Amino acid sequence: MLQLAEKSAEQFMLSTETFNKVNEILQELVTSTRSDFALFCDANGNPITHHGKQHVVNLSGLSALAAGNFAATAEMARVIGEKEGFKFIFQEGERRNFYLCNVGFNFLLAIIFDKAVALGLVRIFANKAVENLKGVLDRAAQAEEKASDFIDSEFGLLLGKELDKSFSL
Amino acid sequence: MFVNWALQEVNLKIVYYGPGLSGKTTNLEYIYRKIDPSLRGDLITLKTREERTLYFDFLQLEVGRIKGMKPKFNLYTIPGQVYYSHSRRIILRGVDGVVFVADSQADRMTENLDSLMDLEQNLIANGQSLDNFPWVLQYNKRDLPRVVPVSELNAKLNFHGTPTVEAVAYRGIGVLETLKAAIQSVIGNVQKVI
Repeated sequence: MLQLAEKSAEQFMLSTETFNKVNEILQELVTSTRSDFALFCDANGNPITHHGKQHVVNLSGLSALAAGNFAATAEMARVIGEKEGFKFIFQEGERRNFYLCNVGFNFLLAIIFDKAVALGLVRIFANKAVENLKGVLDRAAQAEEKASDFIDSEFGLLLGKELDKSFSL
Repeated sequence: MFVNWALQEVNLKIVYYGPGLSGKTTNLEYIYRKIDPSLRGDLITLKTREERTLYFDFLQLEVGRIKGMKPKFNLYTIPGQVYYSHSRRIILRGVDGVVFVADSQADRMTENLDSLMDLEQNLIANGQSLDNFPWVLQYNKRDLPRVVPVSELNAKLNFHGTPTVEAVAYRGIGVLETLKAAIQSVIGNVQKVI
């Protein structure tokens, strides 16, 4: 069984069942901390799911930046000799704060919360959520479906046509 | 590649690699301008004050559903300058395909080769290699004087027989063709791997 949280894999297939369980954990996290928003993405910057207020419009951009930021911070930790890396990243804004931590090797959890919410509270519930997420991902086998079920030469051909349609040349 | 079955999405990561000032960001800027705005996100650029790429540029594209799945392409550029090697390694994580944007000018051959070697080293660090990885070569700036003939570029840079596209990225020439060639290489590789 491939353990999604820890094992490095080139191709991730996330099943609907795992997706739903991740959503439940995010929902509980947002409710417990009265946060605005929680985002779960992979360490390569792909957004997976989110919960909370919809003020963050560009989820793909936020995920790419979160992943880049986390990886750069991990490199900084390495450069200064901090072998285990940093536990989390915290950014304080005028109205909202941003908290980012890893979930195993392959995933990230980002939380956006109001300044009125204590960082300590977010840390406690984020740690709990990370453990729950790791549990769900470790128990999850790869989805039974395979990419080869739909990615074939016909898929490639149709993709080229769709791309042509998308461009105004 | 990341497949989210609940949302029926396939995410593919394509990285534009190459030496500094070869036109990687220009490729993304053209794609951003020309694609239907409802099918793309914002173009995110992390630049220095001198308008050079500091960390990466990022653009997400999506097209209509194919066989029930929604393909999404995450396009990244890397900072080309030699001293940003850490950043390049980070951006290459989880990459599905590479567009190598080479500068066709005669006095830029050393930079092209150095960057290509840097790419190969970073792929090897990830357990991959240019001879078994989906990538395409874009020969950019074909409109400038003193460009190297394509046959010579092929001899110097294309030692794996990878697909090539001639381009003038700031005018959009060859930009979409390059992206399509990269996507086809990625799709072909997915079929091989599975």
